Amino acid sequence: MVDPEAEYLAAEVINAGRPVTFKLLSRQLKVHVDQAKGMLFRFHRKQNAKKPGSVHATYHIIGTPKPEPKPDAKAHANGDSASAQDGEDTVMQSSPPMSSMQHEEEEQESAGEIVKRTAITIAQEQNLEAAKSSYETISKLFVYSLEPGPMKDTSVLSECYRRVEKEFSHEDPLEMCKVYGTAHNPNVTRRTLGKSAPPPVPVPNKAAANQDPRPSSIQNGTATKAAPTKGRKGSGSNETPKPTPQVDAAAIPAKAAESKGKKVRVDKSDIFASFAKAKPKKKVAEDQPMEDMEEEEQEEDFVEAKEVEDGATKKARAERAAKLKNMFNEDEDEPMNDAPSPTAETEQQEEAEAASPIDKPAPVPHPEEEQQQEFLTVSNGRRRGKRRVMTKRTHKDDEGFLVTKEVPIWEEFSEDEPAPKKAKIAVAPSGGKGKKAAGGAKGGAGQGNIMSFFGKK
Amino acid sequence: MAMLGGADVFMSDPRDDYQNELTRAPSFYSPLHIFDLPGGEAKHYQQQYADVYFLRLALLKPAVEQVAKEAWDDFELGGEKATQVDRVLDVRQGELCWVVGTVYMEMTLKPSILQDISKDHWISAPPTREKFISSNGVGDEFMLEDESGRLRLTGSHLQSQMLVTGCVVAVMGTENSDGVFEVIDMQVPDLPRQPQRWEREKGQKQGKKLQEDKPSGGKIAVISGLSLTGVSGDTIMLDNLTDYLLGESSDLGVKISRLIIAGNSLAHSSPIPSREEAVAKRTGPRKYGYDASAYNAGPSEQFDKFLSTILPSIPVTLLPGASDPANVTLPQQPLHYALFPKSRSFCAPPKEKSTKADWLDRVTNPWTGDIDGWRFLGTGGQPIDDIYKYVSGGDDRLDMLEHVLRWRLSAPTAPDTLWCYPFQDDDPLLIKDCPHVYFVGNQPEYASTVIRGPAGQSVTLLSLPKFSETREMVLLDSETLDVEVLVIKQGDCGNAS
Repeated sequence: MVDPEAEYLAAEVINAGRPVTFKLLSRQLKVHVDQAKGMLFRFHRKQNAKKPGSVHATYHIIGTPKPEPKPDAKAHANGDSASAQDGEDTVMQSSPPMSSMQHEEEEQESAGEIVKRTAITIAQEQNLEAAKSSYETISKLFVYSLEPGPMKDTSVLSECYRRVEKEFSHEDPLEMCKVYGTAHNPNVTRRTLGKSAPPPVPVPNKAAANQDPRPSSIQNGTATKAAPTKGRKGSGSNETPKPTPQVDAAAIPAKAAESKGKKVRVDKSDIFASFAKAKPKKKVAEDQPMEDMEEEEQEEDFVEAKEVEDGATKKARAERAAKLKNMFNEDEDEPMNDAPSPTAETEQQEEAEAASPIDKPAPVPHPEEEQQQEFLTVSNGRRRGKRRVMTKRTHKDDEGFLVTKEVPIWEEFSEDEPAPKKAKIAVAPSGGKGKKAAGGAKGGAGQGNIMSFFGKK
Repeated sequence: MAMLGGADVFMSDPRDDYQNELTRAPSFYSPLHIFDLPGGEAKHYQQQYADVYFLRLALLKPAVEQVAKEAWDDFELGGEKATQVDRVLDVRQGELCWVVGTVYMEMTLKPSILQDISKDHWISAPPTREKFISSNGVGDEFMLEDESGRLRLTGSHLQSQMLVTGCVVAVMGTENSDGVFEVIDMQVPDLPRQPQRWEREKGQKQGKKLQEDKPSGGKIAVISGLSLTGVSGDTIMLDNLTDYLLGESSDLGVKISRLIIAGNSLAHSSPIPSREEAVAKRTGPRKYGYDASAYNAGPSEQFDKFLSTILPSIPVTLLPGASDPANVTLPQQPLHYALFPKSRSFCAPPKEKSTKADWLDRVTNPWTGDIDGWRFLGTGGQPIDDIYKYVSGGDDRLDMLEHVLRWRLSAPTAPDTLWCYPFQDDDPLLIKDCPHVYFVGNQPEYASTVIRGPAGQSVTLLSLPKFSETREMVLLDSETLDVEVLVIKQGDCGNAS
């Protein structure tokens, strides 16, 4: 019989070389934390029986530590010198100068001697005995995590917690506590709001996690790696084979994007609009593997938003959330591409989650609505006219929040040259440049600076 | 080292029957909102701080007089009986008498607003003093003041006493030929009346019932100084703490019925950056307008995550501290709701006034309230840190805690050297009810003791260390108020032997 944990642990620890804590394992396999501790032990035993030293364990010790010797001499060293603060700031423990107040009790106990202490240590395999010997009694000892080899620092294990937070944040802790064995509190009071609209869940994650924990975790691993550069690289490499057949198709939308880019330059502030405007282009490039998934996600977001949008109060809240989100998006100086690359998408989603994790996801404002209109006259090489631009207005709302609103205003302008002409020139060398633009659009190299998007080409 | 029975139960292959559900002990919690400042228009700073001292003296004088009368009633010196003098200016030379007033400390190193104004060409503030008291005692004077005037104090007895600006005391002695009052003895208001356990609940009907239903052996965890920076590599400590609190690493954590966080949860989030922080910020190219890189959301996100992980299982009382993003004047008001996008679902929505305390209770600093029937009083540590600057010699924080209670002043040095709100009609910083537990966060080291008062009061004093430095959390038994310490040992840096 194959142990249920064997496959996952082999993939993670031995193949991928990543540590796995009991907590992560229990979340992945949906088992009780205590069972996960036993599973780690079993895997460690079996693997090292096959091939000694192939898996390294870290232990968790909890118990009563042996009393430590008191640093008496040190305590007296710092007198009343005004600058003696750094580091050596120890309270005199064993000889508190008696307060001269008239309280008859002389039974002031100095701290630490009578007080019961409990200690927790995370000790690696090779240090286990040393750590154990610093304890008077041990009340619990278990395998905390497995990793491919000795670690320089146990703090790398916190990576597992970040993964638990990321990948299982959609689970309702109040329901899952029975599965995982988290202490349950019958008196907990939580607003119902949190339940009606859970944060948007990435669909593929969920499905894969249910069927087969292994591939999903690897996928997630790359997608959700802490360092954003890594994630980007991963997605870029996914798509490198694609651009070649797309060149012709991409050239046309690239042109469109270029001309739109011109327009976008009119209102640089509205990054969000430019982001959305580039979307049609993505539709032309049909054979993108990620597209379906993205569409699905978005659709689900909308469905969710619709579902919960019933009461008037909720609507108002949604509007406020939308405003807030808008604000966030503008403020953030995020490198963004023409087309949303998978990472950009997740990033954005995360952002949305962060902005309104309880309140429902705000409906995405439709850029098409804020159509820009121009009235222009061309006279001796200069274009003059009026156009509608979106400007930001900040005011205080009745709850005291600063609200930034976009309001359309008419602005006069005068330019040197007709803009579209320039755009055409830029597109003309279709081969190399078009490819480059398309490649950039797919979330490859072009992820750099947003200014390059607006800059002259 | 000895392994207790069952200690190695997980050092074996897993069984399949781990479906035991751990249920956490309930926490009976009713906070008092005496430190809540009025909101909006009602909160203003037009009023004078002098009223704070006036009110303090008026409210504490009767208490001190009573203590002093009892102590010095039959006191005679050379056949002369000590008589009470009402105002400090009525003290006559050579007459043995006693008088009540507010202590004022004149110290050359103490910051003075007049100095600040005369030197306002300074570009940045001078470094804050570690101590106001000078090491050789030169330039430091003790004075006693009331509404009539000031009286300079002297005498060897003073040197043995802990005194800070703002505390109300009675002194006995004579004025010498220099016009200085020689102090023979001194009295303080001492501990106020202590409510009985479950006193507030007993008034209500179900109070008795609560007490009877209550399973014993619950614990109240108190922690301070998480000092999250968002970048520190030792988040593993916080993770271990989370596991412990959730009862995932050990079933010991299940006994904890409530977590109190006593300030400084975030490391560098004070609205007024410290001198060091300001200097650090100034380096680097200057940007105009909103600078996204100047704000780091990491710490507050980390804190929110921590809270949202433990909240499903454990209720939290959250006090702000000196380095938290709250107002800087005492009493600090609760941390804003918007800081907790994830965990705020455990609070009642803003503007909705509910009678029940929030599950995540964002409270003031100082804070007072009843937990499991006991009266708690706690601060984030600023008053004690400020008292430290007045005290020569050692750094016995427990002594300072004790004095604060016996002076009946949560923040004696406010408003002189500690920022506080200019209270007008009532001063909540006066301690009117003696707490059962007095905890102070962000102290250099863990310490605890029990002090007793003249009327049989018994107070557990807790000086809480900074978790970011000592990795210690204090557990209080909710029945006996016995203290226990949990330490997450750092150790183990993988130096393979």
